[in-house]
Amino acid sequence: MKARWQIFLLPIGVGLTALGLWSATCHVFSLPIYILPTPLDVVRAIFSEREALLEAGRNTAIVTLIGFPLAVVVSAGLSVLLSLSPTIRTSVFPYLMALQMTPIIVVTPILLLWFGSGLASTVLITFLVSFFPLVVNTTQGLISTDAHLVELFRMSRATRWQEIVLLRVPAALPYFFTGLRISAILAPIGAVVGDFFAGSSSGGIGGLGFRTVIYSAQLKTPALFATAGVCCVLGFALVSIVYFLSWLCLHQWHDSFAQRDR
Amino acid sequence: MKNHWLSPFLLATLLIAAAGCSRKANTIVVQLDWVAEPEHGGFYQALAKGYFKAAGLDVAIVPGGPNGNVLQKVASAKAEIGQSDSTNAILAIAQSAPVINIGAVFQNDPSVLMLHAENPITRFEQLNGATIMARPEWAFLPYLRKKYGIDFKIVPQNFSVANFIVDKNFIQQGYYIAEPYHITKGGAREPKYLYAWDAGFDAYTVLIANQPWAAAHASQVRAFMQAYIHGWQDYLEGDPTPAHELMKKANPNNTDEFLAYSRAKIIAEKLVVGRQNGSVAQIGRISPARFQTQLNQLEELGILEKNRLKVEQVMTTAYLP
Repeated sequence: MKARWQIFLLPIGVGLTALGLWSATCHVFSLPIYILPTPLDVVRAIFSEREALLEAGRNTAIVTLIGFPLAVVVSAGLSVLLSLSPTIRTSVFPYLMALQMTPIIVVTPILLLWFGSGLASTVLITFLVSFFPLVVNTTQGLISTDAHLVELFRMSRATRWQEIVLLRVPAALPYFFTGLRISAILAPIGAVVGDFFAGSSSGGIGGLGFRTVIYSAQLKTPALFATAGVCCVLGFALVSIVYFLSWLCLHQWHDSFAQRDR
Repeated sequence: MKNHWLSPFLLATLLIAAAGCSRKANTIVVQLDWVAEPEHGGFYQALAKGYFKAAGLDVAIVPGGPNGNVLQKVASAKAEIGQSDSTNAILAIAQSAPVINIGAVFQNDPSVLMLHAENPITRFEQLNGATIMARPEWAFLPYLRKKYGIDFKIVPQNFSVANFIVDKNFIQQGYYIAEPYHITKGGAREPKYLYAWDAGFDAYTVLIANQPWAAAHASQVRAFMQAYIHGWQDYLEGDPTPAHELMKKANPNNTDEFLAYSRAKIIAEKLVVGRQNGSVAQIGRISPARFQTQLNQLEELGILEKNRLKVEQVMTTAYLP
C-alpha cells in the first residue's frame, strides 16, 4: 500500500507543476489578462471578489442542498416502484433515459417560462440534473440482487416487503452510491445552469452561474477563473460528503473497501 | 529518404494555417452587436451604395446575436471595428482590452426599461423590490441602485419578448426602437418606458476599433468613418431600400414593416443626430466631456477603479471628419 505521504505529495507535486506550466505559458506567449490570466491574477481576483464569490457560492450551495436531497428521496421511491414490476420498468425506462439525454441547457429556459425565475425553478433544474443517474443506478441495483439469496428469502417465506427491505435495498446500496457519486458531481452544475438563466431573482447577488454571466460580459477573465474554482470547491465538498456516507454504509462488508492482503 | 512520419501532420498544419489566412489583407471586418437591423443602417447603406468601395475600402459586415462578443472579437483583432455601447467599451478598456471608441452610432444608447402601460410604476424609485429582466452587466443597474437607494432582482436577458407579453408586471430592458414592434405584434399594447438618460445615465452606442490596428491604418479608419457617416445620412434622409435589402439578406426574419418601423423610430427620436440640438453635423461625433462624465459615474459606482483611465485612453476623435 502506498505510504501515507505519497497520497498527499504526489497530487500536490502535479498541481505545482501545472501551476508552473500555466505561469510559464502566460509569460512566454505574452497572453493578455482577458485571454489567459496568470495564477497570480486569479488569486487577486479571488481576493477582490471574495464577498461576491462567497455569497454566490452560498446561494448556489443552498440550491444544490435542496435539489440534490430531493432528487435522492424521489429517485429512491421511484426506483423501488420500478424494481417491483418488469412491465412498468420496460414501459417507463426508455422515457427516463430520453429525459436524461435532453440537455439541461435546452430545458432550462422552457422551465423558466413556465414557472418563473425564482428559487423553485433553480431547485427544479438541480433536481432534474441529479435525478436520472440516481434512478437508473438504484433501479439496476434493486433488480440485480443475487438470485440465490432471493430464493433463500422466498424459501424462508419472507414477505415481499421483507425481501425488499432486508435483501434488495442493502444489496443495492453499492449501486445506489455509484449513482449518488455521479449525481453529486452533476447537482452543482445543475444549480449553476439554473441561476445562469434565472439570475439573482432568487435573492441577493445571485449564484455562481449569475456571476459567470456578469464577469464574462465585463471581460473579467480572472474573476471567471475564480468562479470556476469556487464551483470546483463546491463540487468537491458535496462529493466528499457522499464518499463519506458511502464509506459509512459499505466499509464493513463491501469489497470496494476491502484492504488488499499483503 | 523515406517519408518522414511527421510530414502528414506538417502538411495538415500548413493547410489549416492557410485556411485561416483566407481573409484578404485589406478587408475591414465590422462586427455587429446584434442581428442586422436599422440600428446598423449606416453600415449597410454605405456598403449597398458603394461608399466604402469608393473610398478604397473592402468592408465585410458580420452580424452578431444575443452573445455577440463584440468586445472580445475586436480586442483579439478577429474584427477591426465593432458596434457596442460606450459603458461596456470603457470597462473592457479598463481590463486592458486594446480597443478604443472612435465614433458614435447613436448619440444616446436606446437601452431603456420597458413596462406595461398599465404598470403603476412611473418613477425609478418605485422599482424598489421589483424583478427586472436585463443584461446583468448593464452599468445602469448599479447606477440606479446607488442613485435612488433601491434594490431589485435581476433576471438575465433572454432576448425574447414572450415573458413580457405574458406577464403584465414584467419589466424588461429593451431597445425601444425595435422591441415594441414585436411586443405589439405579439398582442400586447405599446409599452411605456423609463429612459436611462432621465436618471442621468447617458451612454453612447459607439463604434469601437482595435487600437493598434487603427493607429497603424489611420487614413483607412478616417475614410471608413467618412463613408459610414455619409451612409447614415443617406439612410435616414434618403431611400433606405439598398440597406434594407442587405439587411433582409443578412437576416431573413426582417420584414419590410419591421425595418420601416425601426427606422422611423430612429428618425423620430433623433438618436443619430442628437436628441437635443441635433443636426447632421452631429452624426458620428463623440464628446470627451460626456465620456468623462461616464468615467466619473463608473468610478463613483465602484465598477471602475479610481483614476484607472483617462478620457484619452477610452476615446479619440482623430478619425472623425
